[in-house]
Amino acid sequence: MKIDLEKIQELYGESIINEMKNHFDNIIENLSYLKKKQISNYDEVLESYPYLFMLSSYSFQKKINQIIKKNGKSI
Amino acid sequence: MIEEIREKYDIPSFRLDKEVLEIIDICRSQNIAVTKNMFYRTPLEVKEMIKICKQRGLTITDDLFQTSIGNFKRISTILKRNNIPFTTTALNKTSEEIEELIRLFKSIHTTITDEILKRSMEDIKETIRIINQYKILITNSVFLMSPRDLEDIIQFCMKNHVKIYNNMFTRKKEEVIQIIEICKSNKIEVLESMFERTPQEVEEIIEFGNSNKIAFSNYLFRKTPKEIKNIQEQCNLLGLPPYNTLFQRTSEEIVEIVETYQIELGLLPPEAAFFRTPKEVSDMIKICKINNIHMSELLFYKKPRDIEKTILFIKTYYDKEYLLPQIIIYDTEHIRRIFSYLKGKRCLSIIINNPSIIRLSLEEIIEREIYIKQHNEPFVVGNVFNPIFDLSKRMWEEKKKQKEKKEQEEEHEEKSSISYRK
Repeated sequence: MKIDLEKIQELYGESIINEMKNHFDNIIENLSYLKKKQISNYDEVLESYPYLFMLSSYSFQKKINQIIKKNGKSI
Repeated sequence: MIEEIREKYDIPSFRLDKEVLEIIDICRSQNIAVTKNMFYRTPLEVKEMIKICKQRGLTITDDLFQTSIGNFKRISTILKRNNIPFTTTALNKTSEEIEELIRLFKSIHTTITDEILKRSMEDIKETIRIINQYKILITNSVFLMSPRDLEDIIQFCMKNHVKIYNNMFTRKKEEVIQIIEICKSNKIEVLESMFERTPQEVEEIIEFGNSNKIAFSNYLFRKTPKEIKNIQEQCNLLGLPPYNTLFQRTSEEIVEIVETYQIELGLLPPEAAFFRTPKEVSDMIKICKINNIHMSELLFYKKPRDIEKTILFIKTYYDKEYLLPQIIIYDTEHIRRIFSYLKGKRCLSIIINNPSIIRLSLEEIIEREIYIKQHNEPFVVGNVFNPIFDLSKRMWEEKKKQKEKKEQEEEHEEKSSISYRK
């Protein structure tokens, strides 16, 4: 798994990286959830929507399931 | 009187009366308390040591005078040369030992702290051997416990397939083992922040978590059992969903955030609002009201001052109609690049209806633009950007591959038809 943190920093600024460090556990858990959902480009989803992954699994799963329902597995 | 002084400070017999009085005079003139060990040094030595302490900002304590003036001066010089703060703990070592330590710690890229200086040279060297043998991440906490305990913990973790966290070494060995055993018996993953708590606290938190169906996370174990109970109580009273991130805040902060949000917006706050302090939440709501921005959970991923900076940029160089949460969440420099590019193409206003293009870097936008130009497609279709800009990276890569494949097939067909004609 290759997450382009430089790209995330470029798009959102340095503060988002610090915020991600604070919520590292949630990020890992939510990435695992996407893998279980067979979303193959989970790393790209994180790069595009890093803020979603910082949320608790309770919130993340609700939001991501809505996105999957709308777009299918090609998020 | 001199006899009383001698008795009071238990002054060694080799210190002459004249010297005793001189030392007391020196202390009086420097406004320093007289201490016992001073009388093991000559008046000249006491005077010099006091001078060096004042120069180096060192608190003058009795321990200082246990070392010889020579050692004292040498250690002071060595520490100053290596930019290491001078504390009395350093005087437990000889200057040669200090120099050896500096060499050792330079090789492992770690700074020497007071805690490390408290350990014997033997212990320090043994700890470094263990760190190297087990390839443990070097932080100062590994020097907090004896090498034997350190190795015991490492081996226990390896035997039980538990990840080694550096804050384990801030606890006693027995506590670390107890915490791991508690997790094993409860079939729970060992988490880093558990070692910020005592084993009893960990057990209490796990019990409470199990009874109240709270997911175990590092957020939880950063709080005491009492704090967790308060937070959970408030969350239940306020009707908040089970966000594990709530445990970042105190129960008072949670109440304040909910109250502010309900008074200002008549709603329960979204989860990300609890990433911020109550003041930050209040400031964010104010900023949105002043700028007529729709309040969105997105905004709480950044601090109010960062959002304000971006808002100011957009208002100064563009227009307030671009103040959408989906745009102002991005870095100002990134917004500047994208806006500048789209303005050059006279289609910046499209971003108001179709902001998703901003999740691409400028290089990605240009790359896709080249593709659509080659296919005679427009950059803007109706009042949205060309759908190619909405493609995920994976879908875009697939599209490019399909194009390459098609081009190769066409090239192959052309070559075949040429050779046929020949």
